[in-house]
Amino acid sequence: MPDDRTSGKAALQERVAQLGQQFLRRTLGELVTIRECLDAYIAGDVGAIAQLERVTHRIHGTGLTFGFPGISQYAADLERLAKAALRSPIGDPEILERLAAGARRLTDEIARAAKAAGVSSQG
Amino acid sequence: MERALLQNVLYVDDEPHIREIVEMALSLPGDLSIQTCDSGSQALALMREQRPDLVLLDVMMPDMDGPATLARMRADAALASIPVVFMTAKAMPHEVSGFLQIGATGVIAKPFDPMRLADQVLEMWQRLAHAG
Repeated sequence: MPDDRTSGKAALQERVAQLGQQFLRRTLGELVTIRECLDAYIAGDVGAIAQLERVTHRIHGTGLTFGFPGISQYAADLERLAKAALRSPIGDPEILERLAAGARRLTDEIARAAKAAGVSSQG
Repeated sequence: MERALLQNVLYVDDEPHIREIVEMALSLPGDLSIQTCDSGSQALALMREQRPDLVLLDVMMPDMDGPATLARMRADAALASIPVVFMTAKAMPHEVSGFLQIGATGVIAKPFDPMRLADQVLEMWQRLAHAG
């Protein structure tokens, strides 16, 4: 008969898996926000890059906990790029290119993980 | 000062799913009482009522972030001595060093492993106890 800690671990693993599905669904929805932040930044809105940093920070900090190391890693990369953008002149073509590439990698990884898990943003 | 056994922990994070996982993870040893809340201001109110042994604080939260919450604690005689551990994705060495400099007891990096979290917290508490 399993002891309390063993059954607690099983319940925790099951709940982490359930919340992982919700994480994927929410993160798929946030791809729109990421795209909008980049577009706004390209149009000169510095505040948009701060929002991008917050969104990617959340994904970075949460992804691996729910079993998505690739998403967490690419979100961390994009978070670092957003920080770098905050220290750079708006419109720096190298930063813009790196942000766009980072966003593409994160988008692809989220889409891949969602497809593998059978999750869509509509639930 | 000798510290007693760890009994009461307060976890503060604006992410509800992470709060739920942390609460479950810290419940695994079976002898910890865990409270959670979603903001620094709520945390300060709870601390005044219940005086937890240890506070685990997220860093990036809207309104009052983790460092601001810690600063308010250190400025309040009733809360100043409660140890604070930051749980954060901001865990580069210079960031950790910065958190320790402003008075944190330790830092647990996010993403964390839910199965290991209780052990990490208890190990940190033991180190604190031995440091006196």
